[in-house]
Amino acid sequence: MELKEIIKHCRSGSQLAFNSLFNKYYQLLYHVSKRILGNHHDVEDVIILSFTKIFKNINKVEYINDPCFVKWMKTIAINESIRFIDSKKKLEFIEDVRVVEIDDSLLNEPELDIDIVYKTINQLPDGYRIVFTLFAIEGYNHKDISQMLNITESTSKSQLRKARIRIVNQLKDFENGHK
Amino acid sequence: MDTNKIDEVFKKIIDNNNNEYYQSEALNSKDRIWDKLKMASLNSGRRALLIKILAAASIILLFLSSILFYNLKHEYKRNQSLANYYTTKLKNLNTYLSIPKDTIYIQKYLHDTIVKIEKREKIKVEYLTQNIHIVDTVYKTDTVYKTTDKSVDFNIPKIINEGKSLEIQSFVNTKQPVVKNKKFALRFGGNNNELEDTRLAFKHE
Repeated sequence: MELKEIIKHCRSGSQLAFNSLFNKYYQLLYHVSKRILGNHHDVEDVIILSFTKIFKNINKVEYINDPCFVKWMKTIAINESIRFIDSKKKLEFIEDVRVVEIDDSLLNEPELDIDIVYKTINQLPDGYRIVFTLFAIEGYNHKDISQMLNITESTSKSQLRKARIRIVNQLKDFENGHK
Repeated sequence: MDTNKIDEVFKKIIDNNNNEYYQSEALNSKDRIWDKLKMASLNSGRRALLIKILAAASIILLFLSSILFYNLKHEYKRNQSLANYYTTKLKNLNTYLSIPKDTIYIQKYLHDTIVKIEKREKIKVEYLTQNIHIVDTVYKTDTVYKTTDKSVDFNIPKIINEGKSLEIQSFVNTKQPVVKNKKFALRFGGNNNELEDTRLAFKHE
């Protein structure tokens, strides 16, 4: 069934349509939340909250096309994830970080697999991980991120830069471990 | 180096993975999450219904309360104005009838148009206006005189004592001893002890 049709039936209150929407986008939203939260149990709670909000507000959102609707759902999941992590422990944006020169050879794409990528992301501190995920993976700009996290744009930029440095360092550590 | 290369590389690897890295753990909890969602939806529906009922009840209660409050306020004002009206009337009535103001009281408002009025008359206390001079108090007593003088005639009429109290008179009568003539009596004999002592039984009485 097309997403437009599913949304139409959801608006008429069809439980089957809700189930279809859930099955279609559950994996996507799960991964979005997981990249931000890094914890499976927290992701479960956030997914429930996110889909509840999606089902509740599906009548209010205007359907333009599939990507817009998907982005709307992802935004809900991201906001719920940020709210959840902020409610459990106040988000702190670490300022001190070791400044290390970045080695180009560490970023050879064929040598990096998804396992290393996710492990590297999950080892980042909360502030670094959220800003890096939102900017690099989800494609938000610093203005959007600053509004989402209630921080300044310069803080967002600073966090991203430090996250990248931390990632390179971690990749270096991985490489040293393999050797 | 261009640090954006990290972003590009990571994004590319993640996109290529097509959200399959956490697939196993996501699938494990999928059914459980869907069940929770259904329950949440059901509870939400019930909660919404309950909230609607409560809201409706609150609105009705508020409406009835406002009506009641309006009526009470209106009735209080009306009673107040009636009270003022009747008080004015009574003042006028008092003036016309020349009745002291504190003799008529509004006791209770039985109805909008009926007022129970209680009239309390003053207790009149009359004082003696003339001075009466009390000359004396007269007691009538029967007096008995006793005397040792046989020559006194005992046929004295009863005396009316003037100006003496009964107690004094009575004291005089009762405490005054009766005087008798002394006389000797010779008594012979006596008891055995007296005979042995050879005393004569002369006794003075």
